[in-house]
Amino acid sequence: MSVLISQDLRAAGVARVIVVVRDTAKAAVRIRSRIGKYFTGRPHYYPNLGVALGTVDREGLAGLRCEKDVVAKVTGAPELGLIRPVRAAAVKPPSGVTWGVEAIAAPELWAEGLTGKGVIVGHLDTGVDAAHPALKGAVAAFAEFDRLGRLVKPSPKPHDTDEHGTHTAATIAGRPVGGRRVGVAPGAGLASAIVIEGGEVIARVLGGMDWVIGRKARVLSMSLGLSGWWDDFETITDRLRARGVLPVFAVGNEGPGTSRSPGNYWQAVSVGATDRRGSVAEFSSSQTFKRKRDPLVPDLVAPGVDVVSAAPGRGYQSMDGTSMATPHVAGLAALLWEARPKATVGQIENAIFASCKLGPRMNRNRGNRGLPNAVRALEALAALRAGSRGARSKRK
Amino acid sequence: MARNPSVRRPARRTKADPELLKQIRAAARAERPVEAVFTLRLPKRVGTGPGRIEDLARKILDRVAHTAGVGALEVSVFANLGAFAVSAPPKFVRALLKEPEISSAVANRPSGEAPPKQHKRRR
Repeated sequence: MSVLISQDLRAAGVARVIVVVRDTAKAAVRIRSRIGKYFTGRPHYYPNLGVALGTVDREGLAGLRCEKDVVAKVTGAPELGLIRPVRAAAVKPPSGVTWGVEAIAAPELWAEGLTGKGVIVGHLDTGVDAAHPALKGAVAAFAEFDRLGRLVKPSPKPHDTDEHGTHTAATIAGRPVGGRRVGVAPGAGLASAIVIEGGEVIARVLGGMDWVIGRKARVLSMSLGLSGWWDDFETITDRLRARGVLPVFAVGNEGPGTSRSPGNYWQAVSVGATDRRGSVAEFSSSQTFKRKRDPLVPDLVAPGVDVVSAAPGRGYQSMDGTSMATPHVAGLAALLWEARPKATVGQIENAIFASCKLGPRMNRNRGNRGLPNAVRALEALAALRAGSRGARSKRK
Repeated sequence: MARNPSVRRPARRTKADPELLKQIRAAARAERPVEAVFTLRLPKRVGTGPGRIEDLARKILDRVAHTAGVGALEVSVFANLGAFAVSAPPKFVRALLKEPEISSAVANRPSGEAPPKQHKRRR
């Protein structure tokens, strides 16, 4: 059985499935009448593809599998989910500062005493291994949410249900370990919550968003989204900003002409991925929308190829993805907020945008403003505070 | 210009997600609850505190339970965001969609996967 189907059946008693029909020449109505009874609710049939999409319980799934002359295959149907890394590999512990942290010039702000100390960064992901040496003392708060977005009580110890969350968490706020530095803001605190492993539902993510506001987070780093354009989170993203939280979301890993929500909202700082040579990664999503505000996503790109960060346990691993680029920008925002605690969401965002430079290997349609730089961002923030416009405001 | 208090302004329509409407219909046929997330219309003033939002959400839920004759099975209020999630009979969710304080509503499970059934549909 597909892993997705078994996960869904275990979590909810039903599973969303794609049914590949054997003979697509048969009339849609005949196919529907033959397999429709196995679904809870009416399945959607795509006659040109010869597939049906719908929800089944265990009995329905068994029934579909018996219809061997009509049904060729039953697979899981993923939708809302993590923006999975396109590559992951265990690596030896890195020496010194990782290339990504270096590329955005974070060490230059460390030299000025800025580490993100006192700033809480919201981190909604698969969880975090707080016992990893690079994350010791970094997790200020941890929570898990159930399918209706309620806090699981008693609160479990910080743990990662996957590997993704530990990797992204350490890129935001990883502490130095024996000269190894994987975190952009090594003094920042994380408000980390499990919202996305198995049985992904909107309320879990909202529960996490609500909680990070309550934990006084100034930034929300979220490397997850729905493929395509869905406006379901727009009002909520507005409210995050109104509550003083800068939303930093991954744009997706499906390449040019694609994007994910909420990473494609104009209200979010949308992050694409670049490699160490300064090229936009092939997998990094980009898309232009017909809207006045911020039509092109991502807003910027950050290191997202061969990013070495913590793996659950004591190890490290290298991953590729816009999920890996996003925490670099969230960490940068934490450094800026430490420098200017009274700055607004718009000011921090504009300072980051003003610091971006499009490299010679980057096409604007793919990289938009380009790669941010911590030193220029701090200068831009100072200029904005002094009354200079400094950067084009996203919000009118 | 003074407003005539006797003339009731029409309630703004709730922006309901088509997937939610589909799920409500399917749930009504299968006699099972629907999970949905509702966003409240909030005053433009950011100062609306979480406590007030929680009160507002509970007030609406009580009112709808009274008029629909059936209540939510489970509720989770996201007071900082001005939103809440319910697991409730389709009749309750339909009634909730008509409330003027509701700005938008979406299915909790965007893919349409249903919550666990309470009643056996087949066999």
